[in-house]
Parts: sequence; C-alpha cells; structure tokens
Amino acid sequence: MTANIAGTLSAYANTVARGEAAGLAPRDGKVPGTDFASLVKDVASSAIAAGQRSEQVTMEALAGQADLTEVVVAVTNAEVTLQTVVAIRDRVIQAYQEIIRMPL
Amino acid sequence: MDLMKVIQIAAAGMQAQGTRVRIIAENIANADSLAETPDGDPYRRKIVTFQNLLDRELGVNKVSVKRIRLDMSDFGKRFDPQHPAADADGYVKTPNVKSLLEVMDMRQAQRSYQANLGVITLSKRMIGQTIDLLR
Repeated sequence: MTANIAGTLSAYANTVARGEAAGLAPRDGKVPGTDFASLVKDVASSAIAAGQRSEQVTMEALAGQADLTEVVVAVTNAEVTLQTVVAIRDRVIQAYQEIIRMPL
Repeated sequence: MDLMKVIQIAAAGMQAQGTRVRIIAENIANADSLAETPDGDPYRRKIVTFQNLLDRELGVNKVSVKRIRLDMSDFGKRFDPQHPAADADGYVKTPNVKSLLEVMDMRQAQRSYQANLGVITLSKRMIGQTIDLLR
C-alpha cells in the first residue's frame, strides 16, 4: 500500500512537470499541487501508521500481552483516521473535478 | 483530538472495572476455601481501590487500580468438629466473604463498565457525524 501511494505521488509529480513543459506553469513561479501532494502523503501516512498500530496491538492481544480495551482504542483510532482521510480525499477530488469541468 | 482522548479515558475505566470483576470472581470462588490446620487462616476477602492517574501524554485524568488490599474484618465461625482445621471447641474459621455483598459489587461494576461503554459508543458516533459533514 505504501509503495502504491509513493508511485501515485511520483506519477502526480510527473504530470505536474509535464504540464509545466507544455506551458501550463503558473505565472507566479509556485508549483501547483505540491501542497496537495504533501497533504495526501501526510494524511495517508498517518492513516497507515494508525492501521499498523492497531494490527500490532491486536497481535499483542492474541499473544496475551495487551488488553482487549487497548485493541478497541487502537482499532477505533485507525478507523477514525481512515474515515477522515477518505472524506478529505473525496472532497478534494470533487473540487478538482469541478475545476476540470469548468469551461475554458 | 478530544473525542479520541474520551475513548482512551473510557477504555481505562473499563479496564479498571474488569480488574474489579476479576477480584470479585476470586472472592466468590474462594468463599468456601478453608484453612488446613487449626491455627491457619481461611481465604481473606480482597478489595480493589481505584485512583485517578494523570496521563501526562494526554493531559487527562484516567482511572487506574490503586491497590488490591485485604479485607481485615473478622472471619466467620462454623461448627464442624470433623474438619482438620477445627479448633478445640470444634469451630472452623470461614472466609469473610459475603456472597450477597459480592453480587451487589459485581452488579455495580457491570453498570460502571456499561456506562464507560456508552461513552465510547457516543463519542465514536459524534466523531463519525463530524466526518460525515465533509461528505
């Protein structure tokens, strides 16, 4: 999953670079989308970390080292983080699509 | 996020109540554990005490089990001259566990566990509804 996200991000960066080559570079010199890419990267990695933590605690509980309540907390944390990431992604992509649909 | 802290606080409460039920189970199970010799003591009832514990990482007060101590109240007495632990008068010391008291304590622990569970369910729903605002 991490590799996929890294690949997607590099593909996105390539697309941005290609757009600049075609003369679509922004006027004020700022690279568009870099912020969005880092945002996606940050939230995705936090969701991945929460997911890994929940798996780790679950394995500890199966081995008898962690309490069931710790599993509940870790899994809830992972669930909430993933839900937030998905909701933000949907919303941002929706905004992009609206910009794409805009008649030029 | 505060609501995630709520879940951790309630989970600590559930954990503490779980320990309490464990001790009650020990008490009930050992309600008939007698001594083997006349000068020995039978099972002594255990009591759980709770304390609030500041979680510095979260900055909140969680509950935790402070100490599991022994109930030093007097043992009961039962006339049973055949028993190896019977004294010169034929009485055997019985544990100071009162099953009715333990059952009531257990009920209370169950209700408290349920209350913490309710807090978790509610805060989870609140988080979910807030995320739904984005959709």
